[in-house]
Amino acid sequence: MSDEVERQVLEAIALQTGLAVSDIGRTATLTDLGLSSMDALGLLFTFEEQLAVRVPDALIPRMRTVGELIAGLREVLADKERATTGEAP
Amino acid sequence: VTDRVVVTGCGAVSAFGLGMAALWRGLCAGHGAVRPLTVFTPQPGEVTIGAELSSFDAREQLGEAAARTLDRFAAFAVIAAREAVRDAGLQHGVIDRRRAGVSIGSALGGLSALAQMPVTRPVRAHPLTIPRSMHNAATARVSMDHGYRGPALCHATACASGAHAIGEAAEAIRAGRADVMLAGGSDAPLTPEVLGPWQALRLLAPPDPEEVAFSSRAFSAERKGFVMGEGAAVVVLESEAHARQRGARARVELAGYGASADALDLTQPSLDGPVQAIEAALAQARLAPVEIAYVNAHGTGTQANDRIESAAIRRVFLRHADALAVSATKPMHGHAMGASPALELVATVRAMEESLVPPTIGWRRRDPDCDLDYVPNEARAMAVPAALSHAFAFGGLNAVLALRRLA
Repeated sequence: MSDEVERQVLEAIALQTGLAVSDIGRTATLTDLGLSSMDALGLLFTFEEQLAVRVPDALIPRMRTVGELIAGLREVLADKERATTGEAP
Repeated sequence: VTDRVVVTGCGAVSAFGLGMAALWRGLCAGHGAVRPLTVFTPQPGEVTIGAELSSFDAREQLGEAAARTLDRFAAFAVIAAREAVRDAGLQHGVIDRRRAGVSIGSALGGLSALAQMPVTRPVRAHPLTIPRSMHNAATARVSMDHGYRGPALCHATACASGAHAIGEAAEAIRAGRADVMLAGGSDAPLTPEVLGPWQALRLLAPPDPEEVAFSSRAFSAERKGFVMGEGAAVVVLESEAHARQRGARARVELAGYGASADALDLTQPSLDGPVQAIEAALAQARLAPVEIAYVNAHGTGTQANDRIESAAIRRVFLRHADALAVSATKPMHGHAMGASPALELVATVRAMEESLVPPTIGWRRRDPDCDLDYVPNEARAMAVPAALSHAFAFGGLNAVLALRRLA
């Protein structure tokens, strides 16, 4: 599942920026890759739709780089899975 | 002596295609661009015809990133403004960008972007919904495109938006707040969500059973309303001194602007409001009624507008009304809402330059209440030293622009 998140993020960024997936470094911020703040919000919206999750506002400042974005989405997804299986965090 | 305001460039996007040349060619051909809609597939009971710009691809024109953030109406405005800037030769040389402004009016803005929002609760909106749908998106984007940092305005006065936008831009130049203004109107209303409410007002003409292109028959006895269109037009307005200084060619003088409100009814037109706006435009232009050769009418093709507009012209022009050429171009380019007055101003500029007046197509039979010379069905060669362009909007908000040919 986590690999799936990474693939989705990289492919979406590649589509919007025209970069090859292999050229997208995990430490690059979305701004480094030429995306505006509106582009970033649009991307986030797309991921939320694809993964059927909601990213809390508080998490967004910690999702500046590609790596942080992937990690953040994994975290939200894990929270959701725990909530649906009734498992204690 | 107040410096004159001149038009030094024009740009247009219409159902006839991209560019002022496509618009002018189409208008002179006397056929029009009303067709069965292809931008969406109408469901039973929905509007089936419009003057659409088929196969428009914002990505192809403006690139992927701009296309993502712009609604169709704003994309049209950017393209029309680029053409106007090129036409005015503003891309060459240096101007003071702090004294160059933008004024693009829109009746509906990105209402279609807003309408794409799912109506289910809880509301879940795309983050670009607001930047795409806000009325000032076109003006903002055009200012960014050219780096113009002067006054940036957005007038939303329904079907007069483009006329108020141009008139107020001229006022900004007259008042010394700017040297150059990119002014016009833009709208893209051809979606089921936007057409439906207009259909509910029972103002849209049904498809003509014989010839769809002639569905709207302005000023004709059997007129049944208008057909919706889309597009944008932008003119470069400039103080005459500024234009001369940079060696620009002035196409015509934007000599006068009159604005008024009926202050009576949201949808029913009245006689006094339009008369007041026409007289104000003539007064500012210092034009006597007999000097006007051509009126590009608001001419929506509704029963009420065409009757009252004809009466208003008679009231102002008295006996000269019979010598005037009055034509409505909406039956050809469609009623593109706030873009209409801007498209019509560009048409009027071209008519003056070419000494050729575009016709009112679909005209068949005289209505006793519409008894002027509407240039029926065929363009007419005639000199146009001075002209008016009318815009009378819902809400009873009126704007009239007066143009004079330069010696």
